[in-house]
Amino acid sequence: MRDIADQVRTFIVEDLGWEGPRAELTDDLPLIEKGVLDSLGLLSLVTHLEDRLGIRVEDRDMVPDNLGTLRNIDRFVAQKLEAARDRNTPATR
Amino acid sequence: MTDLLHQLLRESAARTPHATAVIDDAGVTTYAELDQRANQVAHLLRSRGVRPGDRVGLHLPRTADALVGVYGVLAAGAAYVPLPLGVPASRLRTIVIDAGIRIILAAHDDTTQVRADLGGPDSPLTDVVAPRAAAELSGEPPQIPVEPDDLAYVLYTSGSTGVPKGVMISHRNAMSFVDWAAREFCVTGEDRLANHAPLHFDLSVFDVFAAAWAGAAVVPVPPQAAAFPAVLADFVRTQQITVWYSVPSALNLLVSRSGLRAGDLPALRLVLFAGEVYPLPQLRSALETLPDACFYNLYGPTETNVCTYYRVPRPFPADSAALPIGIPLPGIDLCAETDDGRLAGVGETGELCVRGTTVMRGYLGDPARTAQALRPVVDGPGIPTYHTGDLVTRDSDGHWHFLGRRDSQIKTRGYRVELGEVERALALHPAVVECAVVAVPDEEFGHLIAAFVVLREEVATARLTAHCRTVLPSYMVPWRMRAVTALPRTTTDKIDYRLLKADAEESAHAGHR
Repeated sequence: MRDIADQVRTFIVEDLGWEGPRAELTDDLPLIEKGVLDSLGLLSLVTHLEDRLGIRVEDRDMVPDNLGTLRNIDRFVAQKLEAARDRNTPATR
Repeated sequence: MTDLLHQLLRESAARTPHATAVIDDAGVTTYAELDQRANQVAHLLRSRGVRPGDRVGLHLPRTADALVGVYGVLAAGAAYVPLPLGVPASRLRTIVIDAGIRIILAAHDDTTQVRADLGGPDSPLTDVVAPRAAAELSGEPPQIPVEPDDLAYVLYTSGSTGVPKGVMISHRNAMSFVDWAAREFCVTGEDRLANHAPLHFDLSVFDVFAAAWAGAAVVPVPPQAAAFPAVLADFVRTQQITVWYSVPSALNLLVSRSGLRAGDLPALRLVLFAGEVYPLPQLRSALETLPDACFYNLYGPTETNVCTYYRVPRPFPADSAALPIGIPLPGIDLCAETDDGRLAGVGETGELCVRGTTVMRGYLGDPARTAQALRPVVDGPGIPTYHTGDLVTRDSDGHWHFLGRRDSQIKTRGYRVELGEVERALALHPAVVECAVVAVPDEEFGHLIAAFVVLREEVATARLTAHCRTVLPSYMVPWRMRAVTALPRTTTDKIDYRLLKADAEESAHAGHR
């Protein structure tokens, strides 16, 4: 679990070039209000998560409860991965 | 009719004191309250030495306080200069020095930081005050003579030499547009205008002042809503927004990524967009999702305010290849100058030149650049005319069409960006030997900026992006940064921008959805 939030931290620092200290990116930091992500940054992050983790983020998933903080992202991605695993495991074989 | 912007607020406060002027997280501010708070701030600024003609910085969150700041500065006879939150201090500092700003209005909790970031020996800044510090002062309007040709605000835009330029707009310049727009779009006291554009972006001029013209309510879009389309749709619905004005990319996020269905926003009667070209497939989908709203394409560089408009026809013709920028506002003269120094005829391409009351007074403290931008047109009377740098053509119906730029200026999310300014910012980094910046067209954001850098030592490109973030506003920070061993050259040894652009486009298509 922790490694998803950490991956996102790395993405924010390395790809989005966030200039603040990494320690400031706490689990509950409101990423939009604090200016860490704007609309383009958010779309880049979603694309990154889709590419890296093979999940699909629908438009209706784009809400603060899923993507507003690192904690939310962590939980949201975990749910997505779990749902994908369930789909890939046929119920009867 | 008044010709002063702050008079609009005074008149609405006298006419409908209890009408809603602003709705923000803190609740409703009425016209009487907004007027009173603005007058208090004007008295505060006067007591701190602000005099007519001064420039006062606004570094305020997007709440009622921002409007209190705008009107307080104007009522004090001064001009406001937006210093947006979230922009690197170094860039704001450049603006503070260029505009000779001695006083900044900032949120109470930010005053110490702003003083530390933007003050100091080489800065004219002497005072940072919060609007709330004015709470005990008189709410009566200060008696300060203001003339229509006095400056109302200065907006800084990207400059090709690497230094932003301050566009000076007078009360008359802005009022010519506001008065026309409020009438043309039938804005009334029943309307609720969403304010999506920040104050440093001139789309905000309509939201703020057309609302005051009509005694309508302004509802600033909260940051969460601006980033999450579904939250934005919910905001427009629950706030019963009737008038929306933004760049096409923001409007597109609202209509195509929010889960909205046709007819979900019945209150929204008017949709205005400006700042960049609206891709037609996206426009069509917006027209379908908002079947009852009237759409207008507005056009105009910051230097001219809005100078043309086009009402999008319904039904939208299926064979339409491009959206015109339309016809000039009343009192605005347009012409196009060809490369060989003639006035372009119907169907010919030329640089759009604009003359009339909405056109700026000039660039602050830069008479040379002002004279270059505001010069008579060929074959025309010797009247200063703004040369936009935009290539246009006029069709046989009299509609003007935007074709592209003469130079390397691009638009991203509606913001003007001189690619040269991004290159200069990158070149400031000690590890950069050489760099080139190109723009890749993007359906959602207008353009994305890609940078190619040759490095003198090993350094993570993230460090370069971070460096850009410390000197450029976020919309100018390259979206892709690539280290290369050398930049490709043309046969004449110039940097081969075409090759770089093709390369960037290829990787953009691979990496961006």
